[in-house]
Amino acid sequence: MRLPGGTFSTGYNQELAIIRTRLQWVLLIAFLLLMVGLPLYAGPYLLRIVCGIGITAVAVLGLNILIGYCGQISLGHAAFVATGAYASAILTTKLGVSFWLALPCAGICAALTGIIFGLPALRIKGLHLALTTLAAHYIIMYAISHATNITGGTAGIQATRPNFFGISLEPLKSYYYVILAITIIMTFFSRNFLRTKIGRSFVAIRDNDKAAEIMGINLASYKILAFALGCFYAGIAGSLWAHYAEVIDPDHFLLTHSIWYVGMLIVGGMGSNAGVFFGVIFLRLIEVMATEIGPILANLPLLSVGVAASFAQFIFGLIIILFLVYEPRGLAHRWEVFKTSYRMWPFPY
Amino acid sequence: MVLFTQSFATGLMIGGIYAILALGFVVIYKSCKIFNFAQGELLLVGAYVSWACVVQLHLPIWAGILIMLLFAVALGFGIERFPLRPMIGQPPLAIIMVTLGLAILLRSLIIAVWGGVRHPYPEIFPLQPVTIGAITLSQQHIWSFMSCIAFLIMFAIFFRFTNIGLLLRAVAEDHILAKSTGVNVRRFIGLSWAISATVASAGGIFLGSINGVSPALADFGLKAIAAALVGGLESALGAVLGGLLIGVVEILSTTYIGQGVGEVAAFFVLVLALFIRPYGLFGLVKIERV
Repeated sequence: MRLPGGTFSTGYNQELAIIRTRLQWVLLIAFLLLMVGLPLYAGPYLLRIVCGIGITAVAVLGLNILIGYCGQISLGHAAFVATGAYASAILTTKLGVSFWLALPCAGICAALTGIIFGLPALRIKGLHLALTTLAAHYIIMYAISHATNITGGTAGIQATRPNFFGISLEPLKSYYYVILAITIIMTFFSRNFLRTKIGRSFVAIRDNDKAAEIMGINLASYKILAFALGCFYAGIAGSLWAHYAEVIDPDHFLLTHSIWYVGMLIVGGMGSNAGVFFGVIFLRLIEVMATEIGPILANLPLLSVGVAASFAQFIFGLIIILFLVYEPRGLAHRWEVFKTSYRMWPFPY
Repeated sequence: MVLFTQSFATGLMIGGIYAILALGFVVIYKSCKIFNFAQGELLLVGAYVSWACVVQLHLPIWAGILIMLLFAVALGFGIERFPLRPMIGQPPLAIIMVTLGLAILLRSLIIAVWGGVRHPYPEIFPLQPVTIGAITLSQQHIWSFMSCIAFLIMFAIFFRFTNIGLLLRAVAEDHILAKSTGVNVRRFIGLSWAISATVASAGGIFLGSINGVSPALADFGLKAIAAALVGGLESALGAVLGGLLIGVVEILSTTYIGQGVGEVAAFFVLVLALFIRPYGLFGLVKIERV
């Protein structure tokens, strides 16, 4: 990690710390205060956008562990989010389990599903693995939409907002704090996770799996672990989403959503936690803007009313292609370049 | 038994269309090692362009098909130039996401121009069903199947016995070797994309005449992935057999298990194939094992 000029480590504690300078502490605390105070000054529209960003960020953090750290391509992430969402909704609505127990259970359910569909990763990789997860997406979603007596099929299933020691979190302003807290916890875990033995093994497998195996990393168990962890995040995001949307149906988890998740990771920059947030925020804001502009475009000649719905997809496809061709390392890399240059200023190097 | 033969025959007819779509995957994969997820959207473009020419511009059907073929060739050369040429030799995730991005782009453009509703296709094939022995087949199916088979035979002859076909095979074999013997590799990769786009849009006409024109047609492209993979990504013969297999499995599972199963049957076959024989029936055993 590059540090601002004049920052030196004088002990192991400092070497290990994530936040090093006073300015970083000030910025972090100011940002957290801003987020905690958000429901006081933000309207419901902005609050919904921020909630959406938080939930998506948890899902994409999981995908970052899987693709960005361990290099295992998954095109079926939305189906694992769906597994978590349905597990949580079924546990709370049909079995009467508390949300606070259903949340980790949803994560574990998704992790187990992830392990099953991650098993082919032991034999194949790259394109063939991507195709397996693509097939997994269709198979999981088929199972969910046809197990009508458990999942409610296409009609969907209800999931109520939770209570917290007797305080109802029914209004979005209160449920927002659940999303915020869990997003922060998951981000913290993901940030630290990279520095553990497991995290370093994942990176070794991503960079060269044969070399990793020679160094004594058990490929099979670590790949399975990557699927389990990535899908655990997906399950947590799914549970948050289910209680946020209050009614879920299979149309909330399409293949398009999986592609958006991977797209967010690419736009943000793979293998970087900051990149996950850059990508999610950037693409969500683009989507919000596109849904505002789309209906206006429908008046243009040659275009039909369909443009209102498809404009966001159009912009998304364009952005992904442009990023992959011109900046495959994503916004996180741009941010690093920018940081280095302003720290050096006015010296050239 | 009649039910079985009936479903089997119908499946074979649908399989012909899958075969031609899978051939599109194979032609591109062989020439530049790019797996094109946008194949279904190329099909969609073909179906919509020919539909718009015939229904909206009131052109005769042969003119519509001609314009569609020219459009497909232009589109194939165009997407090869950007964004796919810079992708040759990139890591798999980048290639997968570029073609998926292209798929989303093309599909959203089509929805933006023509809307998301289903339109009936003009009747280019007679509607009267034909009875052969105990089984009844619609003429649309038979004509599509026949045209697909004709297409496949044409391609076999083209690749085997013509000069351009020989050069295309040389490019598919090895870029550097082909280049050192004076082949313009770039132009022939462009040509493979044009061929692939043309086959896909021809498939679009057949599927459009059977199911009507709607953005959902692009899902057939995803199912054809299974066909290409079961056959082996490097083998044209494998693509044809894989396509027929997927068609038969789809219709048989719809008949004997239930309506919804047909939709995912192709993906079950895909997972099974990847577990047992990841390189496909006739593919090269070059896949990296870990």
